[in-house]
Amino acid sequence: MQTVAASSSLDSHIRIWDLESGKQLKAIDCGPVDTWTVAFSPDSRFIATGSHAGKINLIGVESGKKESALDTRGKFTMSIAYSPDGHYIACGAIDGIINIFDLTTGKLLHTLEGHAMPIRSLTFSPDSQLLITASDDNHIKMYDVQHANLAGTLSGHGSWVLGVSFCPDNTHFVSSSSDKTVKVWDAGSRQCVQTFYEHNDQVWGVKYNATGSKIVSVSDDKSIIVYNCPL
Amino acid sequence: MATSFGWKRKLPQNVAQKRAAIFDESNQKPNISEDEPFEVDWGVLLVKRGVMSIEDTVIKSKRLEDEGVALAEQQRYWEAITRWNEAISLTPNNEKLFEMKSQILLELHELFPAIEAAEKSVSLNPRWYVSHQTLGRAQMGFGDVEMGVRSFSKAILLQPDDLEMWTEDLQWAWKLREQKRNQDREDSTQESNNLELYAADLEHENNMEAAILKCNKKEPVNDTRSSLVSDDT
Repeated sequence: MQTVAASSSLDSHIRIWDLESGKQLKAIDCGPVDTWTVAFSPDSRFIATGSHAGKINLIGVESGKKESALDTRGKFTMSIAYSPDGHYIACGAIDGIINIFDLTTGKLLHTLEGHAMPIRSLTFSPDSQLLITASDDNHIKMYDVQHANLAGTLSGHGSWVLGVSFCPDNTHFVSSSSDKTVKVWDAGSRQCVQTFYEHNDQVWGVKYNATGSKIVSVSDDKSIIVYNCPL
Repeated sequence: MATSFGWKRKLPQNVAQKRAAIFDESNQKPNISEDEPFEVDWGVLLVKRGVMSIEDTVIKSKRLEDEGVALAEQQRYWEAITRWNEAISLTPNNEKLFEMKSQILLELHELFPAIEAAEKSVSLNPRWYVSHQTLGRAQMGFGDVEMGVRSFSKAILLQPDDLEMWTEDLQWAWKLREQKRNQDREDSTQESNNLELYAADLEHENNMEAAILKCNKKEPVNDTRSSLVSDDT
């Protein structure tokens, strides 16, 4: 099977790329101003996209067409995440509302009002039990997915939190912020265990590699930094 | 000496003390004579000014800002800018003042100052999308469409639910960028055509030169260039 990546763009196209050859495989026109974020389903068959009116569209990777839709009845969807077990989709809106959908029933499972400001990123833990949300209110929140309980609020960033990503070891996660830092957190103790001050500008995105040994971050300072992560 | 004691007691522990100490020393000499009431007055004044000024600048800046807004609404742009410049001198870190000033400068077709003001606003608060949008408009006005597209994209990234920015500003900038790129491409092909013509011209000239040299070959020439040519032939 090919290794592919999906990208969303301001030109309203979702494009699918072959990572081996670097070639574009497919371009899906989503209509004007109607796509912001994309997320692959764990089985790679679907791409979930958040749209302007709060609708979540599921697009078939093979067909390139909209297969089904979920309605949050909310505002602009800024962030979206599939749970690794494929049961849930979580999305964060510009007004700080988080919606969790159960994909087996296609119903809205929970609506969480944890933040009052845009949620720029969210991520599930590898066991799909925890949901981490990052918001412009400088805080990170942890939720128990099944019961929609708030498991913790983590403070430490001095500005907007722009990205979060869970480590495959299921205990750590990493966050990036407008305060130019990247922080590694322990989900069990809810403490920050490491702060990186490598970037000179806001850090828009951060991810772990598949084994959890490295972190990569991307910033407005036009650099991508890879960190060794001996955790 | 009793006067100098009183003078010092009236000063609180603040930054003004250092400056006051200089005045104190220079005033010590004639101090013995009759100007002691002046010195006490001066101290009181200084303290009062120091305390008042913190509150006053913010309020005064706000008042000037509001006045400027009212003037701008009446299209009295230069007067508005004067007000805002005054407000900026009082509160130099207010990104909103720079952003408004940039809009008005753009309205007045003062393009470069408009870009400068917007850039200042962005640097004061890079997370405020409005200043990126205004910077984009100023850059577009200046004819820098590439930078304009970049600024609008940045603004949308910060505030993606502002549809107008997406459908108006960015679409417009894209269209102009497309036109400019086409224009540039045409220009460059024209230029390369010109270059080709020039190259052909040059070759022709070289051939002529070679021919002339060939003609001259019969005569003994010690010129290195001609000897090279004769080697070839």
